[in-house]
Amino acid sequence: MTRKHYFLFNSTQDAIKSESICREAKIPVTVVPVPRELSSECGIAMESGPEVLSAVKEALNRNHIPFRHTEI
Amino acid sequence: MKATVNAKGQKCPVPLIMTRDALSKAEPGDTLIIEIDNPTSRQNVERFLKDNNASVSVSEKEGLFVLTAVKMEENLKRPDAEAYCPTSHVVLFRNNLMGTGPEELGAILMQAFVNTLSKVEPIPSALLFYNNGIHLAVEGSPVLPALQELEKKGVSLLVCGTCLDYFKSKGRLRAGRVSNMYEILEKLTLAGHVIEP
Repeated sequence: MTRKHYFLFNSTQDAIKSESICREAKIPVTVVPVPRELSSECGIAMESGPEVLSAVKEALNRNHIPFRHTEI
Repeated sequence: MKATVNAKGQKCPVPLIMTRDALSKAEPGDTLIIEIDNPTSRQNVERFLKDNNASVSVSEKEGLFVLTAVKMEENLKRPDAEAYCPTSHVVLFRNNLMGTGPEELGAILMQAFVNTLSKVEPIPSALLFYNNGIHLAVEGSPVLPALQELEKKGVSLLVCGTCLDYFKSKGRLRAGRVSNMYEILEKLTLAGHVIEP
């Protein structure tokens, strides 16, 4: 099975900002609930394919948004 | 003519939709062989076939049900196959935001909602879009890939034509098809239950 990449954030505001940054930069990401394996709390995460990982990381770093990248 | 419907591994309402499509294409006198591997779908599909005046016989072998049906009449009396699925539910989008509150929060929640729809079993039989909800199905919507995936799985996506017209978005529809009040009301009436994000 292919592994999926998730970006987790400190706040919902950061998740909203990150989605909008990726959308403007035309980086394809999918907004999803934080997977149950990662947290039982309600949260928003971004899922991405491996081919855009570095683009996402770079865009978030450039905008000083702290995130945690994980794969499951 | 003989046609085979392989609905193995499919959950309600997919076997019903596959059967309906095959039965619609068949001519009177044609035989359909429908293979199903769960007893609930077998019952639903059998009921659907009988209500549409097809003759049905069923055999079972090691958990696999084979329904042999002969089409008797040209037109289907009860074409709404999804209604035969007891868990059949529809999702109603009357807005492009989830819940009431700040727009940016409603928008991100809606994306997460739509992107999760195909991951939670059973999947809905139909998605209905009207008023601001239609923006989810038109060009530029961030949830188009998820909607198109649901469509591929056999979910009907019905989008209010009046609303597309009002928003001058008719040429920008990218998921689902243009529908009308009759069809939307019919889906709501026949739904087991309705979910509104």
